Amino acid sequence: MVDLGLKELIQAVGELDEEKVAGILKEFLDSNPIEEDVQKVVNACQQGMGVVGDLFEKDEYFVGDLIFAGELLTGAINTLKPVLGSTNLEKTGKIVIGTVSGDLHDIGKNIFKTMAEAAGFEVYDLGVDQPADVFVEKVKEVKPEVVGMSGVLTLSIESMKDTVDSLKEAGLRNDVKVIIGGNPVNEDVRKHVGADAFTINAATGVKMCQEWVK
Amino acid sequence: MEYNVAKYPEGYEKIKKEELPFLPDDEDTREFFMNDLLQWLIQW
Amino acid sequence: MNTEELRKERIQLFKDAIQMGKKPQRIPYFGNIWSWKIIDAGYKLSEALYDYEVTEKVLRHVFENYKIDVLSETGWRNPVQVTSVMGNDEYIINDTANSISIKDQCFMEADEYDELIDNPKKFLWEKVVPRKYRLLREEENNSGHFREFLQKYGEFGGFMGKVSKVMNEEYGIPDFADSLAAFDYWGNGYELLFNILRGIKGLSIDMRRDPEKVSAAIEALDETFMAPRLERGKKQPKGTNMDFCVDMNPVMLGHTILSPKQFERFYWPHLKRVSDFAESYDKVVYIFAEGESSRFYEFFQEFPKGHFAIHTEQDDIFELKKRVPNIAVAGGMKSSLLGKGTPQECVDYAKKLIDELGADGGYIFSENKMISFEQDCKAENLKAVSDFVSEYNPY
Repeated sequence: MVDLGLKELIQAVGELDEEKVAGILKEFLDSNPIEEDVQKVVNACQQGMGVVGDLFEKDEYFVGDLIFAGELLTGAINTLKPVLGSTNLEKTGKIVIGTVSGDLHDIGKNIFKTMAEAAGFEVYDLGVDQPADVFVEKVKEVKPEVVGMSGVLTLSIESMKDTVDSLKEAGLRNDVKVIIGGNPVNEDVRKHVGADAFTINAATGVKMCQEWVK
Repeated sequence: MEYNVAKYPEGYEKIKKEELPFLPDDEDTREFFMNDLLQWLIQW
Repeated sequence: MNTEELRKERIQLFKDAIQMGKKPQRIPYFGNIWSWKIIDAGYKLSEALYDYEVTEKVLRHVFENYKIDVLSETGWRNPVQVTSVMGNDEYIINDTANSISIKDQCFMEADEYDELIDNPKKFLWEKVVPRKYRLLREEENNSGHFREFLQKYGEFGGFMGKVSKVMNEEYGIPDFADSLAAFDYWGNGYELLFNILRGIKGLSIDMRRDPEKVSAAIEALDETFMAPRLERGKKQPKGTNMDFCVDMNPVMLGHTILSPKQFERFYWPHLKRVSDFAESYDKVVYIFAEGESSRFYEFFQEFPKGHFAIHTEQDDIFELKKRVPNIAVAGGMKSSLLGKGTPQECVDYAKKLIDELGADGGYIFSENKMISFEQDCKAENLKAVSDFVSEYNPY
């Protein structure tokens, strides 16, 4: 019975069918679920986001769909909050992300954040226009496996490089994987910046992070 | 005699009729200007 | 050749490239050069943006150093002197990083669609304008501020007129399109929702939750801003205006988030109206399309031949040329190469672009991205490339 509901839920999230997701969750809440089942339902929502990511990689979904998916997932988790209680969601790893100095764009970063969280990462979001030392301090503090830098302006490339250089100077570079994302990045930029990976696709980026923490 | 510009149609019409001395006294021209101005105001 | 002849020749280059009837004498160069030029001329952004005399010096610097045929931005892009008098503070100038940004804008709530659809002018004038301009919002008797704004708006228009005169008469540089027109001359309802009213996030959600209302809002905005201009356009003489390089210059930004299906519903109706008008009245249209647009090529294929150029930011321009042969293409010169390469590498790539894309004449040379920041371009590279393009005759 519960399993059947989960499949439907995964599918509804994958199809971005907000009403259906809300209906399933409401029914679930009304059944006074036990903690173990809450965990299963959260996992199903996360798997649904995985489906969304796959469809994005296949060019069936586009940026607007990812943004909506983020909204849908946030809504779903909020709906579940009353029963989430002390349930400790298992974390895959930690990621520190931010939009680098000089750049105020946050849409790409926020999409990545939502998808990374859905994949089970604990995400520390520094916000936009963040100088290198803020990244360094946060890395020292939370010791993440991954640092994600985002930017849309070509200007952000140099800021990304500065940030990687600062991580090196602080002796932290070898402790983390660095991924860069956004409009201006490509393989040349990745080399120039000194990152481990680049992506213009949040779903692909999250998969790379998953590989790193395996 | 100050007034609140941000009222429609009162403020809008008052601007159109009284604050655009550089335009000819012609409703079509003035309305076209106001329309452009409105787009400019929200776009920039 | 005197400057007037030069100006006319340059306009003709653009007409020929886009109309694709006869090959242009050479490939025209659309200088896609934005705030970079301020830094290149030795000024801080705030110095130029708050002083029209400095802006004029910057523009002269461009025309005296680089042999481009037209310039994308002539001082109209960041009208901070006008917007600031009514308390708009969205422009953020950073003179250390040499960057200017605009805060994300979202001046309408999701539950306000009915109000917008019901009476767009009333809604925009009473709700959106005051949300954008602090002094109109905070002060009841605000007509003094508005008068001051009109004064500044007039000065700005005067300066634009002067720039046009200087370009035309002293340098033989034509006006591209009407320089006082807003970034989307025809008032694209979808773009207004995307860029100003609902923002990228809000609109993405609205299109899924309530597509009917989004469609109705786009239509209402198009009726408000696009329709009167189209009507006026229809009263003008048929045929392209020989005083400008192009008749219309729409900018596509918000298509970047859409699926082809959404594009068909929310974006294409507007473009189709532009397209029908261009075809019936024999106009010339230059679209700047941000991001990557290859999933929309089947729509672009519907544009009538000889009326459209598309300046692509991130498409594979060779592929665009091949798959959408009914339009002229513009762009292609990589800012990454201009910023990091040598003059010779840049010239070699410019030659490749012209030889391959300009074979049938339907190509306008330009930088792919808006050249904005210091590292987007080296002066020596721009000089080498513009020297080359102005002299090279591929035919």
